Amino acid sequence: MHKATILFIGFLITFATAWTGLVLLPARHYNAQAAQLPAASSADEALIDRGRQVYQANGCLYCHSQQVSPRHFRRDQERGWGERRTVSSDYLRDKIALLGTMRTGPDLANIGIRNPSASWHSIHLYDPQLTSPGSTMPPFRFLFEPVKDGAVADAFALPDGTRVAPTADARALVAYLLSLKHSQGEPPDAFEPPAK
Amino acid sequence: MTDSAHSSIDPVAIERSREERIRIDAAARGPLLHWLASAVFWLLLGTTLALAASVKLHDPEYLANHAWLTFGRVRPAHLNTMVYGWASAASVAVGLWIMARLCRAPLRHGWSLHFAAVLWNIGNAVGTWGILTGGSTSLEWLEYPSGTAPWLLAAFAVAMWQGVDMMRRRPPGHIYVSQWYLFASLFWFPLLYATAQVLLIWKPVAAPAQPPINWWFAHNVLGLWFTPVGLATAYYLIPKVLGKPIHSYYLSIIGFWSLAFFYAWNGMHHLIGGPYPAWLISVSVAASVMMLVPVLTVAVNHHFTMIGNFRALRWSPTLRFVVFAAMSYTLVSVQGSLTAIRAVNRVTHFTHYTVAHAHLGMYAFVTMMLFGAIYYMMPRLLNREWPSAALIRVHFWSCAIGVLFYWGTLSYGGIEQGLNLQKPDMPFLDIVARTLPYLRMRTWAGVLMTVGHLAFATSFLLMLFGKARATSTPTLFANPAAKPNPA
Amino acid sequence: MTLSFVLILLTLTGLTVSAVFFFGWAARSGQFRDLNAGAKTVFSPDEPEGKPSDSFPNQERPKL
Repeated sequence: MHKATILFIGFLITFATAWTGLVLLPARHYNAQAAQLPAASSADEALIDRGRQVYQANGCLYCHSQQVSPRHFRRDQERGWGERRTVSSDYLRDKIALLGTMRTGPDLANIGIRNPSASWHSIHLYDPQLTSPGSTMPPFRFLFEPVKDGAVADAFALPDGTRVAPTADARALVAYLLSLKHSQGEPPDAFEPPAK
Repeated sequence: MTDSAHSSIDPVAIERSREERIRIDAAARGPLLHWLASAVFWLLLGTTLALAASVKLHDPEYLANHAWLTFGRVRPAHLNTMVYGWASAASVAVGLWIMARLCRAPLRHGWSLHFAAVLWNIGNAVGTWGILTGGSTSLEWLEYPSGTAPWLLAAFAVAMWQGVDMMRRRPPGHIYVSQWYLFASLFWFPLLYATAQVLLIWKPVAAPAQPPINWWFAHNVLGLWFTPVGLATAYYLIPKVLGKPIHSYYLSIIGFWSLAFFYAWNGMHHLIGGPYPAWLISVSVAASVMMLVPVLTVAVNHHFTMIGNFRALRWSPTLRFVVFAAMSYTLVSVQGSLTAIRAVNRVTHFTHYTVAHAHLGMYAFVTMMLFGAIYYMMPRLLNREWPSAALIRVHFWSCAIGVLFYWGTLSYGGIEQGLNLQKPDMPFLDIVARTLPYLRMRTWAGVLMTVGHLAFATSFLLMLFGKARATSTPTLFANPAAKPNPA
Repeated sequence: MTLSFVLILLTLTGLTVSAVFFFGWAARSGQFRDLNAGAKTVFSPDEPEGKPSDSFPNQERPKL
């Protein structure tokens, strides 16, 4: 066999085994763990899942990350973005790991812990300037609708006196945000399904 | 293989080779103009989306009251129309033309490429519409909703088949490095795309495993699709324009195989500091630094070929774009290798610096290279001169200055942003406020680049619809009408 | 899920085998011999080495 061919077979076996290690085996491992988890059943879970879809549809990922860096590497934890770094098993119960690659806005991995106010999130989504002047986050007024009477529980008043309330999509999105508690407590044990 | 030194005095060989070249260019005309015109359309749409996205980042109220125009939809719509609609379509056209030239094989069954162009355009239209109407997958570089992939893959299958068909008809002897790059990329891209579609969208794997696959895909699209097309173009056009062969050609062979080997490991450098085992990240960082090997061999190759010939940039529009692009390739690749180092990455990750880096690659390298190729191809496909040297100059300078200004200002702003993120006592909104001047400068850079694109589109349309003056001075583009010649 | 892994394994195997095949073929068929001549395959009798082939529209091609 030509010497170059032997050398090349060597290169490619290394390549193939590295790819197997980097992509294939982790995928198999996490799939096996995920398969052990109980399926989501409650209405809350359905609302949170809908909220995740709203998050994806509107591209929140392009400004917000959802991962806490190691303490020695970045200062995320000192900013209050998490108690510890996030690890893979934190995302095991998610349908998609929306890790993100930009911090035009703050990281959201534990936003459900550090800011658990549904009404704050509603107002902030409607118009970020109302809660965070100077923010460059776009307003999501199209996720809200005007209300005439006071019958809607989570309606709020704008500075000019008009009242708006979240649509179902906005409520779902807020529920999703409040569910983000990725770096709380001990990391979930990847070899045991987390207690429900 | 004909020895060009001898045949330069053999009129029969010259005539035969001229006729062959005319046949090749004529067979390519219809189908590849269809692909190029489509690409230019998506370039213009992508540019509009780019401007909107850029303004929204410093003026969030801009066009903010419509769901389909929210930043989180406009931004991925921009990326996907540019990657698939503009750059990939132009790459197919340029790639197939260079293949045809080097294989000395006219494209056959041109109707299949017309059909493929229609499929490609439908796919991109469906995909862009899908993103803007709330169907984005939120997977970076893969945001087109799931129904889009079959259209794009079917269209690309035709391009692959055409590539194989031409390679099979090539003359015996040496296969030029551009043919290696192009032939390989025609297989690599659909494999990457199909794999990503299956594992992330059609039958998604568990959530923690998705980001590595996502970034394995996105990074390999750069390295195993766009980089090969870009380098193949440079390796073909630099010697063609200069009339001089590539210096140290053997280096290009080393460059090809080392690219093929090292590049695919790079993807995890998008996840440094993320929730992954250190060994996974370290392998990627090492591979990213090893990329310096193929990158520097390419740089040496191009540089030594151009040395002594830089005055050619004065009279060749193609060479201006191609050399600018080739230098940008070296710059962005070296920057990439440095950015993968953890000490750098801890500051630059999550900032606008990354966006600047991405545009140095996809624009200053890939897009400018494709512009250069189109400037070379079109006169040969259409047997006409470009209508206006002024428009070409406006295009080049607007885009060259525009992208460098884009990159410089946004990189600086991003590094500042990253350093500020490492100050836990600095309020987040202060960090945001300090990025605003750089984001505004990026919009101005974008306006300049848009001017260039408009100049280009104008030239392109004038060429397409025959408004260019036929030249009376002798040119190298043989006009079949000037000789009785069955083209 | 099994379908995905089967597809991946097939793809990987296919890629590896084809790359080995192509590299071996290239070595055997003499692709790596006479690279100087190889560099000149971009030229042809009617676009020969030594003759620049681009210019701004309606301008003379200068000698290089």
